[in-house]
Amino acid sequence: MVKGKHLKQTRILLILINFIAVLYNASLYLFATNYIVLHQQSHALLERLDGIPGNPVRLYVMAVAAASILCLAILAREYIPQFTKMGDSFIVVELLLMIAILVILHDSYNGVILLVFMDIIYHAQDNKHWLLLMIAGFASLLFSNYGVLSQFINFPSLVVYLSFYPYKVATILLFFRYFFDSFNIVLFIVFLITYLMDSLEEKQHLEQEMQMVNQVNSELKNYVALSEKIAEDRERKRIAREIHDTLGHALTGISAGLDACIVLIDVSPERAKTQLLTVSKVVREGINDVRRSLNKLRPGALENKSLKAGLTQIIKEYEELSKVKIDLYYEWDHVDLDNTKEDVLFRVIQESITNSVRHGHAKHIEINMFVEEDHYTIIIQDDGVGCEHIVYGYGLTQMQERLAIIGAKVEFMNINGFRTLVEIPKLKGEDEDDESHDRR
Amino acid sequence: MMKVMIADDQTLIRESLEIVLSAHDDITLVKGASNGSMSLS
Repeated sequence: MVKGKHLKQTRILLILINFIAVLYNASLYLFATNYIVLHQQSHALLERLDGIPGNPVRLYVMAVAAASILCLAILAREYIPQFTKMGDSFIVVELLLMIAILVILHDSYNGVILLVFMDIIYHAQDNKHWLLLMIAGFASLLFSNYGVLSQFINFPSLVVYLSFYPYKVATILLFFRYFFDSFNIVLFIVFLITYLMDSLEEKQHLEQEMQMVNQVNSELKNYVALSEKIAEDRERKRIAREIHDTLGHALTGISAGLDACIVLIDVSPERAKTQLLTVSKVVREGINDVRRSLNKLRPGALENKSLKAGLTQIIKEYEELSKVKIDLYYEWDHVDLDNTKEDVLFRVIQESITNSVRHGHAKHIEINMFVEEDHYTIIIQDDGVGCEHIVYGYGLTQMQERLAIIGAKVEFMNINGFRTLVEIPKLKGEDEDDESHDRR
Repeated sequence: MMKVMIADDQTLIRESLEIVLSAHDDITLVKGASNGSMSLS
């Protein structure tokens, strides 16, 4: 929770008031004892007290020391990172110091309880238990009241010490004693109210930010969907144009040519043969045009690049975008696959990397591509979360279908993350190492 | 008698259509063209 200025100020005031109060109460014991001794009333004091009092100087020093350590500890917890990290163990220290002050001062001032509870609430990680802590604080305050505790423990009462002063002086001294008590309680209540208000304000602020983020997210999704649609439409139009200009053109010519052949075959077989040769030439030209169009549909990363270079490029892009480390072990330098196989394998590796990052939340991916006697192998291994049950959704099914087109098979395994194993059968002429081995 | 001029940039289509149309007695083919401006001139 972000701590507001007023909350911090109230906290500082509470620390200050409690320190002054402890100092005041300890001083009262010291000066009252000195007054009693000076007026030779020590025997009267002992008669009125329920217990034997301790050394007032020692009481004064210990009380001030304990209060100083407690206040410094509370301040240090906020401003010194090493103490902030200690977290709950620091609360134990504060509670022990609180009990020490209560005992040293013979329970004449129990306001430090509210000080410690204030600090516990202030540093609470979430706001759910603040009410419980508040109730616990007030309950501790109630049960540590001198009137209640003295029924069980014989503490020397400060009021007895003050009774030796003249009436007016005793009244004034007691007034200030109760003033610190009351002011402490009021400050604690102000702290709680400020804490609540800050919590509510922060909650509202977070809700507004969440709304804004959701809105931006929604707009971004719409933009992405629109961009994809525009890109899709553009590509469709381009493909339609290509088909019209190449296949459409050629097929129209072929259709007309064959119609002419049907007419000529009875009338002039020689001319029909010449016409068929012309149609055959147009068919071959059409095939070349279609090949050129298909080449334009290759993945962008593979245009004018080898498979290794294309993979290296997309790996670099993924590493930059998603902070994932990808290692490629490529042993296919002597392998020459046709464009179709390269396109399929490229897409499969790309899809695997995307799945590892998006679904597996992997930090490291290893791609091994090596050659075995009768097939090529690709193993893509990530260190992600894997999945207990592999569900064949659109992505994995597409991979299987694509690989089946080139005669390859794929297996998915939940090992040390997620593993994809692809085996592509070797064809004659693809592996230069096999060719040179055959020649020997 | 119908006069027909075939204007198409593809030679195969022009020649094929000429063969098919010439099989009809009531159609006379005039010289073809490979583009619009040629056909107008």
